[in-house]
This record gives sequence, structure tokens and C-alpha cells, in this order.
Amino acid sequence: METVAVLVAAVGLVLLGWTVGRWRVAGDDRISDGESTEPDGPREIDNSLRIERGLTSLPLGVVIVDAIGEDIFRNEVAAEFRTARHGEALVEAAIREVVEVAITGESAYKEVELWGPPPKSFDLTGTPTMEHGACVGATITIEDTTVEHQISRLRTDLVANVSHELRTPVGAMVALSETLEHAEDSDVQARMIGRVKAQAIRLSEIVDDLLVLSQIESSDTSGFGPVDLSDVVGKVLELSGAVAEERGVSLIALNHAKVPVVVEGDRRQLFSVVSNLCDNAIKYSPDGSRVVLSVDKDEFSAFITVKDTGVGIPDSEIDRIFERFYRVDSARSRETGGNGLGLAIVRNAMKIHNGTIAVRSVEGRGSTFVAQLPLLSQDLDAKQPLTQPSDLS
Amino acid sequence: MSNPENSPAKPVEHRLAYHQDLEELRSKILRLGAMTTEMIPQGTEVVLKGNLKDAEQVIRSDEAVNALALEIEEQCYSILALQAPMASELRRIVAIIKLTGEIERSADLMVNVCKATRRMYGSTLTPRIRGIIGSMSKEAQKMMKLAIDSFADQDADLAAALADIDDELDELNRDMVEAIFAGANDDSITLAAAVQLALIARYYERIGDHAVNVGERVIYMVTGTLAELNEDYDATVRKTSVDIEFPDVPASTLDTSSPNDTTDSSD
Repeated sequence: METVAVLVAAVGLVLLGWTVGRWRVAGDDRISDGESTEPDGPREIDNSLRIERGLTSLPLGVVIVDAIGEDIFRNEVAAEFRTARHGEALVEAAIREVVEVAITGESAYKEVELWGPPPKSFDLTGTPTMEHGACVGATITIEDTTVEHQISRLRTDLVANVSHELRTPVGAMVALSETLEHAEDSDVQARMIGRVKAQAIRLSEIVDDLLVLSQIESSDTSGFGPVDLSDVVGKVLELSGAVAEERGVSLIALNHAKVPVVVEGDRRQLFSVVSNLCDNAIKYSPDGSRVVLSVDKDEFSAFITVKDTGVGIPDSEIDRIFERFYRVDSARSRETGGNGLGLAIVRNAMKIHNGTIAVRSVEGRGSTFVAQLPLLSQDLDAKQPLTQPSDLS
Repeated sequence: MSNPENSPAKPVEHRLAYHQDLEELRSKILRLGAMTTEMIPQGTEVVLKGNLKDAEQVIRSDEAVNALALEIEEQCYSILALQAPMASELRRIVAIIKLTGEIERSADLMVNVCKATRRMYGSTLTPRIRGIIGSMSKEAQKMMKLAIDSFADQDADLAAALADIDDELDELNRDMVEAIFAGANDDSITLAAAVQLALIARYYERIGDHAVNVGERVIYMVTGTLAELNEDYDATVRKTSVDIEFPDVPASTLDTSSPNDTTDSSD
């Protein structure tokens, strides 16, 4: 970023010397009426036009101002801020602040964080343009750093979460083993061994999930074949039904299509998708509520919907729930179990199956996850026996 | 003596400065609106995450909003005194003075939201209450953005529609009251938290009302009629003495105030 700023500043300096009078402000019809002379020959005109076009097409905003801070050039990205409304209008205000500092001969830097939604970040750098020791203007660059900020936050959170998830069971096993070493009572020993075992199982589950995730990410489609989603949902119902019952949640499965819904994919991975969505819905649903698993299709796509009336997901967290080890509410997640990898597996599995996963949620009212997959073919569907909703339930 | 018809249409320098002033005022209102609409999700994050450090940031943002609002008001008075604006320009200045207060008050309300969060620190919010707060925040921000858009585009129709859009916030406020009672019944929230939550819902709802008031000022600015949007719009349109043909009447003789003017100052 700094290199680009220095480069732009250097270009600005050269151009200021050549063509101050001809600078055009993007989005503004007027031409600056500075008093510098026009370039002498066609070559200079060509070069200055090339440089102007180069600056105009840069993906970062560039503003060049004169000694009193008036715009003499703005590329297209920067011009948009002049007419911006709402949050982005604050970027224009920040540009003026940076200009005020830069035209005094001092370099200036400012970060702008916008809450949105969507949240955005901008880095502004002001570099004075010096001529014979005097400041004759400044170049301001505006860089949209939203993606960089998101990646940086993801990396930090991932390291912290991985460290937490792996260290917690290991730490517990160390502490329990130490206690066990000095325990003489056989009841205490049995209890400690049980706890060590539980922590070892937890660690083993995390490792298993990481392996599944890694396998999915390798994009290996060699195991792909026709999979009937109503079968997959039926299997999940069979395995998760007992857990739902234990928690006082009724689990219902429906096949709205009333025929087999066949897609091409890896049966185990698709089972993992439905199972993860279903387990989450059960975990975060209150006693006496209902979780509905359904399969449907249209002309081109198959849909698996998992709907609950549980705690829901805060708006601000929805974009992050598919990250590895991400927890919306760490305290609650530890009560309910899980390792924060389930939805990462779902997202990656859908990606490798050319599908999508969408979520709609209102905190306090529940969530609906919809997985969409391309149908294998109409012909294949026609050859399959009918599967009624009652077969699933 | 030169013939005016043959002279090039060259703007007189002081009128140019005047028009630049008007344009600058517009930009400042957009900035004031932007600062306020940014404070809404920021303050909501304070409530939902209970992060009191962010509350300080909201309070600092409000100080900047107050300073800019004063600057806008002073600039308006200066234009009134030095440039004697007339007709639609006079209406614009008067409208800006009024709507600046409405926007600034909305920012104050987000500070109130943060202060209420401090007072109920440690309380756990039920998912239903968190959901309603999130929805109220989104609606309040949407209302304020639309109000600012109606000003920027001088769109009286959008401004008039704000009252209808505000119904959603009123509905959410009622939902919140129900959720508070439900929480009190099953002991999931304390009485102290219930009081603060009721106030927080009220603050968001008031932001919606201020957005509607901004809409009223925009209608006045564009059409010269004063409307009470919280009532039946057509039934309560009031003509004012400002809405007369200029330029023969000196601006100083005009009474720009309205007897039924309803600038809110209460929570």
C-alpha cells in the first residue's frame, strides 16, 4: 500500500510540473484554471494523458490538490466519495482532513471504519508535493481495506479459537491425569478415568472433523455418484431422532417433492451436511419446540431445508457462522457441545457439490438453513420408486 | 451603459459564494446524517455485546455530531443575515435549521441507549429481546437513511412515505413491551433491566419519529407546506406565510415560524 502511495505521489509530482492547468476532476466538467503552461509538444501531451488515464483506472482513489487544498485531479474511485451518502460520506470528510494536514508539508494517515451494514474500512494517505522546498500541493490515496481487515480478523480469530479448542481438552487431560496419579480411592480413580476418556473423545472428534474438512477441501470428487436426498434425510432422522427426543424437541422430516430427489455427490458428505444442520437446530431449540427437515426440488435444483424455532442468530454474526471454530456465543456453545467445525464442513461440502447454503434467522425466533444442489437429471428421477413423506417420518 | 441582454451571463462573485455556501450546507447535512446513521449500529453493538468500551466511542461520536450541528446552525444564521435568501432558498435554510436539530437529537438518543446499557450491565438478554433490539436498530437506521435521502434528492414523496414506514418501528416497540412482560413473568430479566429495556426500545422508536420530522421539513423545503406526518397527511397540511411569491417581499419581514410547529425535545 505504501509503495502505491509513493508511486502515486511521484506521478503526481511529475504531472504537477507539467500540466497543472489541464487536470480534470472526475465527475466534474470544469477544468482547473491553474496558471501553469500547457505541454509543448505532442509527446508531452501523450504522456500526460497516459498518466492521467493510468491514475483514473487505478483501483484505489487518488486525489491531487493544489497548495490551498483545492482538487485539481480526482480519479473515478475518489470522485464517488464526493457524492457519497450515509457512511461513505464520512470518507469525503476524512479526505478533507488529510488534505488539511498534507498541504502543510506533513504526511498524513487516517483510517476510516464504517459500521455499515456492510462494514467497510478505508486507509487514507496524504503525501505533500514539494517544489524547491515549498509545498505546492498534495496527493491523497484512498484504499478500500475492507477485505484485508476481514482476512486479518479471520486469521486472528482462527488462531485464538483453534488454540482454545485444542488446548482445552489437552489441558483438562493433563490436570485429570495429575489428579489420578495421586488418587488412592478407587471411586475417584474411576471418575477421573471417565473424565479423561470424555476429553480424549472430544479431542478425537475435533481431529475427525478437521480430517473431514480437509478431505472435502481437497475437492476429490472420485467418490461421487447418484444420491437420493430423501434417503439421506431419512437416515439423519433415524440417528438424530433419539437426541431430539432426549432434549424434548420433535424432529419432523418431509419430502415435499413426493418423489426421490437425486443429486450427484458423495453420500457421506451430504449426510454430514444434513446431520450438522439438524444437530445444530436441535441443540439451539428450546424444550417442546419443533425442528423440521424437508426435501424439495424445482426444475433444476434440489433443496434441503432445516427449520427451527430456537434462539436464532444475531444479524451481526450471520456472515461469520461458516468460519472454522467460530462460535456465536462461546459460553452457550460449550454448554451445548460441538467444536465450531460443523457449519464449516457444511459450507465446504456444498461448495464441492456446486451447491449453495443460505441462512435466514431472527434472533429469538429461530433459523432456517436452505441447502441448494443441482439435480442429477430428470430421467433418473423418473426411474426411482416414489418416496412419501410418511416414509421419512 | 451596457445592455444586459448583450452581456454574458456572468455570476456576480458574492452570489457565487452564496451558492457555494448552500452547497456546503447540503454536504454538511449529509455528513451529519452519515455520522448519526453510523452511530445506530455502533450503539446497538454496545447493547447486544455489552461492550462498554464501545459506549465511550459512541459518546465521542455524539460530541462530533453536536459540534457539526452547531456549525451548520451558525452557517444558516450567517446566510440569513448576510445573503437574505428568498423563496425556495429561504425555505431550504429554515428547513435545515429545523432538521439539523432532529438529526442531532437522534444521535443523542443513541448515547441514551449506551447509557441505559451501562445501567443494566451484567443482565442477560433473552434471544427474543436481542432479536427485537437488532430489528429496531435496523429499522431506525433505515428510517434515518431514507430521511437523509429525501433531503438530498429533495424528494417530497419519499419524505411523506416516512410516516408509513415508521409503523414498523412502532410495532417492534409493542413487541418489545410484550417480550419484557414475558421475561418478567419467567424471571429471565430483572425489574431494573426491564425498565432500561423499555427505555432502549423507546429511544429507537423516537429515532423513527425524528426521521419522520426530517421528512416534514423536507416537504416544507420542497413544497412550502408544513405537514404533520404523524397524523393524516392531507388533513393537516398547513400553508404558511413563507409560501408566497417572491421577490417583492423582503425576507426580513417574513414570519417563518409555525404556531403548530412540533420540534421534539423530549425522550
